[in-house]
Amino acid sequence: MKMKDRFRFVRQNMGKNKSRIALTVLATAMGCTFLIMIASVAFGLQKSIVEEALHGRKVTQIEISARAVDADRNKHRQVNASDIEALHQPKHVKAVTVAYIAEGQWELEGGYSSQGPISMADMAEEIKTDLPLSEGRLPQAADEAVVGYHFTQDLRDKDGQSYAGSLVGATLTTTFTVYTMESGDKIQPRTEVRPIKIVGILAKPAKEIVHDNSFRTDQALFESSGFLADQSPAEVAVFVTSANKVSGVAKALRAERFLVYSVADELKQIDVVFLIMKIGLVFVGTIAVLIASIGIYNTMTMAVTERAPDIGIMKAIGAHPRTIRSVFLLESFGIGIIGAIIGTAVAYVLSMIINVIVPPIVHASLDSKVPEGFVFSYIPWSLTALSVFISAGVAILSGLRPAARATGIDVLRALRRDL
Amino acid sequence: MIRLERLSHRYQLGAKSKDRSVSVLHDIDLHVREGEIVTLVGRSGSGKSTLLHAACGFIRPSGGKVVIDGQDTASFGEGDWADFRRQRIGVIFQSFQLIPSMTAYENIELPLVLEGTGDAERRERTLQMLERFGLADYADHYPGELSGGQQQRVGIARALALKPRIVMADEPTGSLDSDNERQFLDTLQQLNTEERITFLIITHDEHVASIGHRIVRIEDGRLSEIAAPRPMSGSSSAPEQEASSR
Repeated sequence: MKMKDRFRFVRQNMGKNKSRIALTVLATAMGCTFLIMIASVAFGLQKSIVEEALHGRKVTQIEISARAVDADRNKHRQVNASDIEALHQPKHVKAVTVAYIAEGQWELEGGYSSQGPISMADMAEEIKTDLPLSEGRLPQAADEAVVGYHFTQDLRDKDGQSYAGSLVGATLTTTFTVYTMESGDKIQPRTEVRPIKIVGILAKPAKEIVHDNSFRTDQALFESSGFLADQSPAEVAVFVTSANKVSGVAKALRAERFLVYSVADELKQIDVVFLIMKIGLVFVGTIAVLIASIGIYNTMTMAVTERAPDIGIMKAIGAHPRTIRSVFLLESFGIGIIGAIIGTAVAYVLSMIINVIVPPIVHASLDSKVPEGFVFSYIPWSLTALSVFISAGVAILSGLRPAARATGIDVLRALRRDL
Repeated sequence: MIRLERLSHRYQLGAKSKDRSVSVLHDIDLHVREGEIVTLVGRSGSGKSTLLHAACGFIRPSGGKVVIDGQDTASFGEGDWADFRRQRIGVIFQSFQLIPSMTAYENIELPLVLEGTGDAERRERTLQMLERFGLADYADHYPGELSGGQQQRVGIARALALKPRIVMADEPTGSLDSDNERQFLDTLQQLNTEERITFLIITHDEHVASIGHRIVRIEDGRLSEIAAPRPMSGSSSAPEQEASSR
């Protein structure tokens, strides 16, 4: 029997008792919705907490804060230029970024000015970390720079008016100031003034609360002048090719006595907690689907009983037991899959509604604002796929016994309507 | 074509009493040759239906062999029997046994659907059968909307849809009036003559039995009398040698 004829049989059979099938599909849909919704809370919380933990950082980033000077790791020193080669050594290292920080002052034609920190990095390495831009390009020459998304807002004239035009292509007169330790613990400022061309604007931060007024230029600018000669890097980070390689690289760097921190380590702990939570909630949700499966079993058993004479006739004229079984299994699978699709659609709608209505409720009842971007319910595609798989699987399991009963129907008793 | 060798069958009495049984067929030997119509007559409870059910695999006989078209069916499972029946045997029932939720067209098409026949061939064959049995105008009618004679014709058309070489019929005229019975018997004889289809027909009606090349009488599970009112052309063997019951 062809597959399309099996589907035709199933469609005809399901059409014979529409109300019963509809109620069974409804029960399955409710079970599936419950499963998705309850698990979506864990997914939502995890998403919100992970985003909070990342806070603009990259999962593939390993921050290097210092290096131990002895084997016992009791004394540490700042990372210096001679350590950079060692940071490149472990496998799967994509880039090593080293940034020096200076105080900066900027002046633009028209009387606009501002001040803030300047990050002087190895731009060739920075480019490898896939810095996201909202406008322009990354620097290709030593006298070029990219600025943070909000940098333009801070560039104001004497009246306090922000610069309104685009900074890309504009040249800022930039004053760099670093401090050096003179003899007698006296700190002396050292200053250089350079014209720097803005070639790109960084992407808008994910969180509205973050004000990105950074200014990044290439440390090669001062290669010949020795301006940074006695400075230590303020930020050193290793970027790894993918998140699952972070642990291995971090381990290798620790072996080289580097003090390392990666958000992936932090996320690993969070992930373990949420994985346990998600498994538990999916298990609880599956109970709802299992309850719905009783309905499927009941519906299929009634269908077999009602159709016993037809099954007897089909067997008498040569229907293979396998064909009979497959028709009934397809029917229970159909109920499961239709229920799962409806249940999933309802769950997505409910999830959206919850994410819209819960923050005002929390605000009204607790008088505290829900953190920005916080989601209470999040349905990733993996949860949808898992729920559809569970619903369809449970539906097939529910149909196994009725299908076996159908194949075992005695032809003669069925023909005599003696079942 | 159909050979029953020392066929016997016992029915268990009740589900729990394994030691209580009743014997309904006793070492029956019957050979139905290709192109022959054999009618099996007997009173109610004589075992004729049991014999037919064993011959078409609805029950597994307690003893003996059923050999059809040269194939020993002793090792057949339920699935093998289903395939064998569908491809080689057409079965006609007393109470038509049409699926009430299917139209005449769909009922006739059913064996072709089960066989997985291609759409075009299936449609052509079904329409051909509807035309041949005078049912073209009733293709979309459900069994409940057809007369007894029309329903039986749908049953015959369904049995012949896959062009079987053997047709087994269990009291095929039991639910028909005399006009429809006559039409049915004419159709059977025509099919036998034109297509050399072998028929094994169970009946208690002597008139129906008379269309057989041989009439085999069964009493208390034993073949008791063989007559040849209408010997098959080209037949040389004596009826007594073709069927016996020890």
